[in-house]
Amino acid sequence: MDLHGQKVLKVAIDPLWEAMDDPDLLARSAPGCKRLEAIGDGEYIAVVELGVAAVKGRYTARVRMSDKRREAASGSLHVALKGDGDSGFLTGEGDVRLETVEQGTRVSYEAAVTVGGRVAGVGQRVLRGIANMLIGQFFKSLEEELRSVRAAT
Amino acid sequence: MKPAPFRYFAPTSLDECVDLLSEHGDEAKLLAGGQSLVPMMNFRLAKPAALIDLNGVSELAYVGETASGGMRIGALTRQRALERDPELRRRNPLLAEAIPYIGHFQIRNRGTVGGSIAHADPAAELPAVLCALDGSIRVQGAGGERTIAAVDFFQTYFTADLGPDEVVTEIVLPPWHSGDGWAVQELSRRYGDFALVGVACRLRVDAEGNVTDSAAALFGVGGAPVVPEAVAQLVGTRAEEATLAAVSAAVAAELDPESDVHASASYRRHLAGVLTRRALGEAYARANGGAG
Amino acid sequence: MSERVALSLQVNGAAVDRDVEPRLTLADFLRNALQLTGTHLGCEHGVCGACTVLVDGEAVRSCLLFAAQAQGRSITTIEGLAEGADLHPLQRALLERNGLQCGFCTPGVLMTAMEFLDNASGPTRDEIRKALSGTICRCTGYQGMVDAIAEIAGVDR
Repeated sequence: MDLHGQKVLKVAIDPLWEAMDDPDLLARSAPGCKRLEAIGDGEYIAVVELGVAAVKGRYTARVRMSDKRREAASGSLHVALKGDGDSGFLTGEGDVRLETVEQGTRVSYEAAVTVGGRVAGVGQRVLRGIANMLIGQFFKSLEEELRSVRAAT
Repeated sequence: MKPAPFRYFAPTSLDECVDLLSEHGDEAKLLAGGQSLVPMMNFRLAKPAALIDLNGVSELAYVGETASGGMRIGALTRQRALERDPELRRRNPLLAEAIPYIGHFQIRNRGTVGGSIAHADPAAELPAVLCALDGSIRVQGAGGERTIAAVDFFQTYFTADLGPDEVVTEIVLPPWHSGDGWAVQELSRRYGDFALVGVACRLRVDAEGNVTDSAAALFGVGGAPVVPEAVAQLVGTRAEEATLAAVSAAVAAELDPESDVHASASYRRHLAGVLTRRALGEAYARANGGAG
Repeated sequence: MSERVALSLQVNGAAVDRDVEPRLTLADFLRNALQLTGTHLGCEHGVCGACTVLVDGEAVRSCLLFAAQAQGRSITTIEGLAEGADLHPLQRALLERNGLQCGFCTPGVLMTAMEFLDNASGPTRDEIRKALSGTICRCTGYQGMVDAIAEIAGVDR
């Protein structure tokens, strides 16, 4: 399954880059994230509890961020993900691009993701929509977190 | 046995149901027709600790009238009961036209109005009909009763403005204006399957044949029903071929559907335009004294 | 481990009283507790239609109904159609029109058609096809089924 999308966040690019190295902030922004533990070298263990319709599940994933290319007004990073839980499993990787625009920073992503197990069998019809929705929620929360941090300082 | 164990409650009144919900809240699921919930339980994707079976709450199964002449339909009303209601085509022909698209008749024999609303499936017909008709949803919880406009109620995939301690009690439809035209268009891979794309619409026309009011909602094209702004462009026209083509193209351009194994996003967008054009044309013909 | 609920219902005209776990589906109750294995289980999520039975005369998916919900109801399964060795006319018509091959979907097709024929007067072949759309057959195709139902509905040409 290919995922792609973009969103303009009303925050500058530098705090966004810093957020990528801030496990607490990432954990607060990721939908359903219960725990995010940095295990070094850009790698994290994430425990996530998600519920869509009556399907509630707890998933554990290993997330690795690499190939950071940080320039003044743009850049990209590579994200790889491998996780599983009681109703299915997921592997995927993709690239996130950041670019300074007039209103803030444009975040765009492109990823290839494989979802398997029961959740994929039954939920195939809506998997991509829900995946994009969760990614959208993550960026929205991240934006709010960064804006509230800025407002507080 | 397929489903995981759960505690089973069979309340016989709405009050009892609300009490059970506030006691078990997030751990409980409400069971109405079971046509969406039980499949997930059979696969153990859903493992509620408690199941509150609404089927004995007979006070929620009714078709009534509002003070202004609209319809009130109790949440436990079976879709099949509406389908068999000889008065429905007169009282709300758009709803009557949409019902047979819901699953197969064996599904509608069990499936309920409230279940379809609370489940908020993005490809479901009833949420879109409610959005097209400016309907609303009444819910009850320990904190009391709320009425929510349908366009605000459906938020995204399987997510509605409904708390874990709340139950949908009825849907409310404004009075049907006799003379209005209506249409439902839907394409699915097999009769009775989930819609790839569907559209429900209603049009009003004056004595000269000018459109004075238009409303539509599309389903299967996002996380929730989409009420397109572009249908308003029909107002003041006589829904000529060129107008219909322009309006349906504008509607399609508003959409941001997803791809899945059944249809790509671009196919869905194309289909939405085609079905919108057909639906608006059909509704106009009915409003303008055509076949109805 | 789990609580049990008392269940009293009619199955093919006979009274049945059992204690069941709430999570037991009607399909599993019929097949395992009552040994009425004519009701088949295919997909178990309401798509294939093989498990269709009549509950108070209405065709429903027995895989999506808990047995406990059938309290006080009257259930008819495929075993309730024939009288002894005499097939129900619809069963005979299906047989004669070659409306079955492996037979897996047949119980669901028959129970679906029972309700359809109860309500339909002079159905068209298109209406019959629509009524059958909720039962999936993977071997014969539907021609023989439509023929058989049309014959019983008296619209056979």
